[in-house]
Amino acid sequence: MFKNLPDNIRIPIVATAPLLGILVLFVIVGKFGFSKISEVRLSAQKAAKDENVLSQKLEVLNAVDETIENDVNILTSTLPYANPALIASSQVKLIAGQNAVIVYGLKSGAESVESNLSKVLLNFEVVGTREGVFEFMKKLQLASPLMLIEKVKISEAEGEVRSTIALKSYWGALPAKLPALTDQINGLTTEEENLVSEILTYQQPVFVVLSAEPDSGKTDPFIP
Amino acid sequence: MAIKLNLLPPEKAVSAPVGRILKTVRTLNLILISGFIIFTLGVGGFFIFTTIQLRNYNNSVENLKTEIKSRQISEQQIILVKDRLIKIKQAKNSPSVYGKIADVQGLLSVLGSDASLAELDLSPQKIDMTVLFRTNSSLANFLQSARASDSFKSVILTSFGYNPASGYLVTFNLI
Repeated sequence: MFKNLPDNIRIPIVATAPLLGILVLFVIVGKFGFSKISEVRLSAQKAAKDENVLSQKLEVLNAVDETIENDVNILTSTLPYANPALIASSQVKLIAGQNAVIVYGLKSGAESVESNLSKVLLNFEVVGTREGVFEFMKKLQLASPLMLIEKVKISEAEGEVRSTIALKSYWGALPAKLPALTDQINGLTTEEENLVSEILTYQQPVFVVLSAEPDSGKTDPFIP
Repeated sequence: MAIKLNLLPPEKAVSAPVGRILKTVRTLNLILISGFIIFTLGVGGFFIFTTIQLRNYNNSVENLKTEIKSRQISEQQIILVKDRLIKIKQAKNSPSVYGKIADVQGLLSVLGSDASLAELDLSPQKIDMTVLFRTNSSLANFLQSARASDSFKSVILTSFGYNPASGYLVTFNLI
């Protein structure tokens, strides 16, 4: 190729060729190597982040103790996933009895939605002493399901207090799906733990479980 | 003494400046080849190290995922607890009269036997109260208590009636 060139030019060119070749190789290896390394490093960084999130998640899950099952039941009873009008009515009557007041005309109103919560209105009258009626209202605040008094009208005559109460009780749908496996979850904050502790002291509704009737001794149940 | 022999024909011999350049180029070639080998080994080594690191992370992530999957019930429970707590907090923040019950009860406790509560209207925004006072002193005592109370921003006397047979019928609006 360079045979026609004089030696003074050809020899330096031939001597410089490897130099250029190495420089080109430097560029090729550098470009390819660094792109591959940065690719692997990015994947490693993402994997490290995932590992960190998952470790933290596992730590939170390991810290979940057996009492959480009871917490779940109490919290679901405080804010149920379905209309709690019936349970709330039962609680109103139960708490009224405990505070020596009488409940009249308990009626459940229409359901409505308040942001992502649903609520039902209960209207009723309570008759008793002033002390009894006020204690009754205070106890409603500390009972499950969650019941908030919206309005109260009290009239008093000859020591008997008649109170008309409008109360609302809430419910909300359960979470439909779990977060992605690599999504972070946090344990309960101090504020949340305090709220759980408060709710655990709420008066819970009493459910009567009917046991199966024993065998009546009849072979044919249609014969009287 | 060594004898220097140059068997190259004189027309093939390179001039002295070109010879110096060639010497420098050869040295440079040597340095660059060594540098290239070190560079390639370095890049390769770092690539292998990073790949091993990635493999270790991936193994660890897979193990953690398996462990987390085995604790799905705990995860469901914690998600449910958090969801209920958010909703309970939201519901508890709705307006209610609970904050006012104790205040009103405190104010009513000063009513003696010569005064009685005729009507009380309690809402999250305000309290309307009608009280029958049979004596001046009971009215004065009640007003003094309402004034001294820190629970109300304002106490407005909205109506005032007097009947010699029953006494003073006073309506307050407390905010």
